[in-house]
Amino acid sequence: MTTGAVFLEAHDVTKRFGGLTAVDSVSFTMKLGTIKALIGPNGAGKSTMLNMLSGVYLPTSGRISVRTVDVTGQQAHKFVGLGIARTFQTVQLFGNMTVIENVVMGLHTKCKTGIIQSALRLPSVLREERMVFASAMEHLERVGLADRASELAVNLPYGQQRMLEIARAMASSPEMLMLDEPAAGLSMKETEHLALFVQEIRDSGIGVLVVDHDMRLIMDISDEVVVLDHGKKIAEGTPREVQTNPSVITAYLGEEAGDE
Amino acid sequence: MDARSQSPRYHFLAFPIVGALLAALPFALHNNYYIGVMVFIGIHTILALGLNLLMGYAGQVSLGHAAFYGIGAYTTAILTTMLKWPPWVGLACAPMVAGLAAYLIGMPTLKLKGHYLAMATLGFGMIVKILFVEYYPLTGGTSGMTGIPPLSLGKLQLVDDRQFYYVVWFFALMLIWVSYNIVESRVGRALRAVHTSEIAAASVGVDIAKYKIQVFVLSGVYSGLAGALYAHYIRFVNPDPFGFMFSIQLVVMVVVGGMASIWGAIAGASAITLLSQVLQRFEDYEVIVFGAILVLVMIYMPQGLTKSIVDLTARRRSAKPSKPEVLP
Amino acid sequence: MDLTSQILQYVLSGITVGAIYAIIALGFSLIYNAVEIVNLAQGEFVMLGAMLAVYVLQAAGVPLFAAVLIAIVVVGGVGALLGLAAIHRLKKSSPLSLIIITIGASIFFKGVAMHLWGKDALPLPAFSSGDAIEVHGAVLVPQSLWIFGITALMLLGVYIFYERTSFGKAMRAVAVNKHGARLVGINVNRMVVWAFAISAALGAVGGIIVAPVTLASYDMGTMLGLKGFCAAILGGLGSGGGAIAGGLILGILENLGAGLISSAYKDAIAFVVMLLILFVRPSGLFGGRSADGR
Ligand SMILES: Nc1ncnc2c1ncn2[C@@H]1O[C@H](COP(=O)(O)OP(=O)(O)O)[C@@H](O)[C@H]1O
Ligand SMILES: [Mg+2]
Repeated sequence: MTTGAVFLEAHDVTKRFGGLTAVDSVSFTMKLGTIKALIGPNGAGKSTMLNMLSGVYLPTSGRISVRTVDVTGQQAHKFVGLGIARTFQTVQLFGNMTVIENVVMGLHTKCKTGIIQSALRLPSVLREERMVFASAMEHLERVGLADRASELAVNLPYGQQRMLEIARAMASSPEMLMLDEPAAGLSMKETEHLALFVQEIRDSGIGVLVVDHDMRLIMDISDEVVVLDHGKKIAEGTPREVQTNPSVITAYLGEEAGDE
Repeated sequence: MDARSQSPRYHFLAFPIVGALLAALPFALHNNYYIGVMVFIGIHTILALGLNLLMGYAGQVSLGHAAFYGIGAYTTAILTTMLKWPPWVGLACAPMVAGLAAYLIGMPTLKLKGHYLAMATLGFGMIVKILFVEYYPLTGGTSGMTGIPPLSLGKLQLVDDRQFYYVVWFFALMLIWVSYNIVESRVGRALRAVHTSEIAAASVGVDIAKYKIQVFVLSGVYSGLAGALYAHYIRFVNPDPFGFMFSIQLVVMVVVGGMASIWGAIAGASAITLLSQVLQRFEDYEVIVFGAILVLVMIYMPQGLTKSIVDLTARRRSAKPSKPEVLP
Repeated sequence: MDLTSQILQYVLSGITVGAIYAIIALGFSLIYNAVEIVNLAQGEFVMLGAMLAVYVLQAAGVPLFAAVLIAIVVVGGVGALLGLAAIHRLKKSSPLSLIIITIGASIFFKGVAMHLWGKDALPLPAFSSGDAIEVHGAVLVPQSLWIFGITALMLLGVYIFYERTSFGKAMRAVAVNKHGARLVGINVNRMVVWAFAISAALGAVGGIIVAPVTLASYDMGTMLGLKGFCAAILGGLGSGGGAIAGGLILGILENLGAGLISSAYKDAIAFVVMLLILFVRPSGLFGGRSADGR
């Protein structure tokens, strides 16, 4: 991986839901080894953007390319193969599976066992299972959840569920990680822990796109910031540039101060 | 829904026990009528297993599964009577043809979100039944096909109910083992993942449509085998057993046994097969009772009878130790 | 009869039965819009309507129109009950279990009807007497005209209800966005129950107007219901106009196919059409919703 190389590009991406334009002709690029923040008031279209960049939504118009290859319209499950992993605004764990099984799911595309091999329980199946669980354990260790590996995911406290979701995403060895409000509901301490982990991920050469409302976190860790308002990109730059941008202050920070 | 109710250890313990009980059962049953009923329970278990995988793990329902059963039965009937192929070859071809039919129906519809498979299988089931009735050059129409040869082992022709009992249950236990392996594997995990969160499953790269299609084809294969076993057991086929009503009965078996429960398939198949034997005496009530069971189980015990009973006893058991120790 | 008058005959009979399919299809769409489930008991409402009308007419000795009215209201009530059962599970269960509930209900209704009224087909008098009408060599029984007229009235009624009344508009809101409807204070559960009641009543009307032509029997509903379902898929599940077009197209295709190709496979035609449309254009001829939901 080459830090700084362009990994993903969004060109004039638009999403309409009926009459509502949730994302309006937004363009930006994602580089490897960089943390990019996507901020904006509630309803600005941040999650919708992430959903398009991961194939959950089909853009109404515009183009998304990964390493200059057009991937617009690819199905969601293909995006892992492109090197894109993500978490969700409302935690989406496999609640009735154990913690480690959740991470094993993150390794899904790295395994080959198909329905016929599993049906016959061939030796290769058992070998692969052992390998996958061992690898999943390493990922759990990185987020400090190894000791809870065999608990059901639903039984984890909220903060740990968020970390587990990131561990699952990281298990697919992505080149780009997208986090939708990872700090929401976390304690101060947990947020600090998260910040360190995200920076560690960045330093390993992975591009991170993070959406969050915690301005201190965002300004601390991001290299670049994109601001959305009513679906439109109103500013882009370093945290400092964005903070002093007058339209951002009126459109976003003003409103933020007003309603929170 | 907790699809992981059976832990591996529990399962591997259950396997030899159930196997031994089934092997011993014919010695306890002196009346051949009951052996016949057990053969049908075995055949229905195979059908319910496949449909259970589809409903419990792929979250889809087939409203025309009797068609795949029928395709299996007619395939081997045609191959062994008209082309004089050996019965075991017919038995091997039947699941393939049924699986292919499932692939052709599932492929276009399972790629879509929603319950298009239910609609397509419903239509498919009706068409297949009409073909069985109307395409008499091949199927013999309503009078059906006679002279289907029995299965044989070497020189031994399996014409006796007791012999056939072992054949059917051999296949049924094999398929229970196979189904269990699938459920407890990467594929089963992926299917369970889809169940809790389709969006998260897709985000880790699970090709939802692919697995749904595979499971549906597998359930078609199971049904085809069940159909072929039926044909070589009764040695006569006609369109009657392969209609819409039987498709619904299969759904009832799965619902009563509990979706996403492999052993529940045996329980559901047994319960419904026995119930319909009993109800046949009051023939007019049969449908009313089936309808009522379906509605009531779905409303009050959506997990199925077996799971609900297990839960109930478990709750009682766990309720005891949690009581304070300072009783009078 | 020459070929043109033969074809005209098939088309006229096709429209007659197609009108019934259209009414049933509309019932499917109403419920699908409210709860996104396919109510497979719809056909039994058709049967219950016809059987009840016959029964009330014979047992109570009331005039035909009163018997018809009573039957429609009772069937509407039965539909509401089924709707209550459905919403009871609505929050907790998957569409799968809701569909299964409607299947169970359908078997149950059929069994009860067989018990109460027996297995024989029973006659319902035609709404008016009079001779068959001849049109260019094709014949049309007066009841067909009743069927056309009443179907058109029903469809118009449903249209006005949905487009012009505030109650109907609230139901449409539920169809478009359940959560949003809840937020603006619409009682979604009540709407679901009403959708079942109205669909059931519509089905009953379909059964009653067709009974003088086909007779009423406990098992008439299954096939009519399934074909109405095919019509709904053909037109696009959830689309009112689609239901009407789907019903008429299906009725005509079925009669033309049976007449010109083979009557043995008549009952298969509707299902073949449905499979083809599911494979080629799953949102139906007039359905707007994309089937992959992105
Ligand atoms: N699936 C959807 N259907 C209709 N409207 C949606 C959908 N998803 C998001 N929206 C709307 O799009 C707008 C942007 O939403 P979202 O992307 O979630 O904002 P953010 O994440 O910035 O808070 C909101 O007005 C929201 O209501
Ligand atoms: Mg959001």
